[in-house]
Amino acid sequence: MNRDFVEAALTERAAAANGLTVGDEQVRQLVWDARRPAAATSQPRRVRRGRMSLATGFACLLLGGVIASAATGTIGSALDPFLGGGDPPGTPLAVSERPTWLDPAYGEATVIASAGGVRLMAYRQGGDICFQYGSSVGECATPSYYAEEMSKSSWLLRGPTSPGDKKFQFGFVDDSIASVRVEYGVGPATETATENGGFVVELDESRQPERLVGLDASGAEVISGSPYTG
Amino acid sequence: MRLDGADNQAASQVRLALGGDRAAEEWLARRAYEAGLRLASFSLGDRELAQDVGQEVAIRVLRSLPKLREAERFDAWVYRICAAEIKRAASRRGRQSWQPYEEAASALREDPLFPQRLGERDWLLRGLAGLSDRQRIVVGLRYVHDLDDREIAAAIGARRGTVRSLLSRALAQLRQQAAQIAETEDAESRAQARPAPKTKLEAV
Repeated sequence: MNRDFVEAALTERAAAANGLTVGDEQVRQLVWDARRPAAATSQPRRVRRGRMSLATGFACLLLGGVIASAATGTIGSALDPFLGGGDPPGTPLAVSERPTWLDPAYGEATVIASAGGVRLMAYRQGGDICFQYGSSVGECATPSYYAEEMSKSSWLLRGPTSPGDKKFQFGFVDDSIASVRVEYGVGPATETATENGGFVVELDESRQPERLVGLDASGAEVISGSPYTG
Repeated sequence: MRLDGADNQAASQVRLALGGDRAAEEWLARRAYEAGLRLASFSLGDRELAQDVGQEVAIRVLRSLPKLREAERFDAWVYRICAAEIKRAASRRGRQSWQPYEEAASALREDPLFPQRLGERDWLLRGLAGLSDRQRIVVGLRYVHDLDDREIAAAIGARRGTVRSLLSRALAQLRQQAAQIAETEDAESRAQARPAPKTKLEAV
């Protein structure tokens, strides 16, 4: 071991760190966050140790009308019991599938929805409820925060995130939304059923995603937005 | 390994951003985020925490931009904010023991963003964990952002002599740690190379 060995290791480590970059969507999100009042972003961005913060790659936009009373903590969704203090909806995560940073003491963690191997997970942490979007993006906030946000529209969009070379859009829906359609500039639209009050859809960027549409059980359009900006 | 672009480019982007230019804001956000992300990932050995730091730095920079007195000193200002945010992140995480760094090393090994060889440098993660917050920042600014003593001094609000001392002691500590690990590994290798003693059964 000599001086050169240590400095070479530091240089190597620095080179790896210098290979880290930020995506365009995330940069846009940061600018958007910075323009909002501090109080409006501080809560969701204050994530717990072990996860990335909210603003690392998703747009949070609310569209449409009010559907339920936030004051009661119910939004007319499969998420209501979770917002009211119960376990999260969806398929419980096996112990072996739990992220290592997720303390078992926090109780049940579930997969609300998934697509292409990317999962929307939910769990409770202290007095907060938390959502994990794929493997590295997540957020925690109070149930009342989510109840209020979700009560403003038929859906609450999160994302997209970009694990690997793919993009995934996440969202929470009330009971009026039964499926989500992605319309493309090229080729046919795709449709995904919502699960447990949420959804995950893969966006095929090569086909130019143009429109995200929430559909009711009869296939009628309830709400729509851009896959990237809501 | 400085951030891309010259200081005057940053200065012109600062002026454009202050005039409401969205593209300039995005340019500055990217520059600030990546400065924080890279320095924090190097210093803390925790990618998720590093991303938090990058985000906090970028948002703080954008919100405080009107307070920046000299646009030409944008990078130094960003580095100061990075140092403060990294210190805050380390403090929030609490005093680190070895275990979190083992976890970080494990996470790094699984992370395609990091070369495999980095994950194998556990001794370096351990060594960095043993440095003070200030030492880690100084080492990071030197090796990640390629700053000289004067620039580091400006970034952390210290004298050049202090920077030299911090850097020198940090490197000495890392060398000592590396040497100790090498001695241990050599001893283990020697023990494995020694022929196993014959058992009673074999002797019979």
